Amino acid sequence: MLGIMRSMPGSLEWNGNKFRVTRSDPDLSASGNLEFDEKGFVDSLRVTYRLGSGEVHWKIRYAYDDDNTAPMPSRIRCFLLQNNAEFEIADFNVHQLRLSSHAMGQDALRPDNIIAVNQWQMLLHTNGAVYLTTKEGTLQKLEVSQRALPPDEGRNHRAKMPSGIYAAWAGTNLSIFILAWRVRANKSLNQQTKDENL
Amino acid sequence: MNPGRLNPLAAFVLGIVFCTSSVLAAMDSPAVAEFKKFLSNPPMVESIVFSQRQHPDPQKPSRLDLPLSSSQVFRYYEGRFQQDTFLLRELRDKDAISDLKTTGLLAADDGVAGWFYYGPNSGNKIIEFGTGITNKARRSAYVTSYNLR
Repeated sequence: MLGIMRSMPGSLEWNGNKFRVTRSDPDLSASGNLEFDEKGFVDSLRVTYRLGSGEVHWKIRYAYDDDNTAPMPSRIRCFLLQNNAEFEIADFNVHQLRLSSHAMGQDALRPDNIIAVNQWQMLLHTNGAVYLTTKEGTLQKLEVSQRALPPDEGRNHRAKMPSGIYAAWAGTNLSIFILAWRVRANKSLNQQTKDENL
Repeated sequence: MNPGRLNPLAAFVLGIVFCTSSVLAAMDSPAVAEFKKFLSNPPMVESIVFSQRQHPDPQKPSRLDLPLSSSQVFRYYEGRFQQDTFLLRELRDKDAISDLKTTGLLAADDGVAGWFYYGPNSGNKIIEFGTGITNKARRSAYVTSYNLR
């Protein structure tokens, strides 16, 4: 994404030299604008990330190899703009870029050969659990992922209350009722004794 | 030449010049057009090799008081990309593409499953995420590997 963070590839929508990101992390939205130099090359992108905690401003600067006839930058530097100052956060150099005119096969994007050469052991994360792939090719369950609460369950606090709280609440109410009943019974007994004495 | 016809002709020429310059100003240069297209509709990348400069204080990379440019430590990566699929892995150096030994990070997604190797501290284990982009862990790994993509 040439320096644009936490956004899906191909998710930029342009309106002139302004853009907005259409698919990103759910807690974030991003937009900005493009600036170009006198040679007609993109000089920088000004990006504003909007999070729940507020806005963060960045500037992404691009540089090009002198002998580079391709329009893509060879250096990408990301700066955080904060308190009227710039802080360089990231610096990428592109050493080689080879585009393809035809779709690559799935094998080109699978790391099977790399896994075999490095002799990495495979852990499989699926169906809310993690499994170890044994040498025999079987799966051995290691741990179960914590179940995330559905959104409505999180809002309905009664659904999360344990039964002990209900028992304590009911017990307190019963005690108050018995106490009130006994006070009332004592009162009427005292009144009856008074009447008899008179 | 008839002087009475000069003014409308000059206005016509000026109008043409003005309209042409406005249209040209609104049009992107080839480099800008290509750049925009790259971000909104990425091409298939057969191979990209790039490096990332490391923070001068690796224990506290959030420190802003140390200029990044003071570091001369780099990590190298090789990547491939096409719509919704990618493979990225760390290289020993920028010329080590043919060496499949990967000592650092690896992230891959072939559109059906995803893989993540966190580096030498992960106990030589690679995680494969189950099928479906809706798998939360897989989606999270995909989105958080943004700086490699």
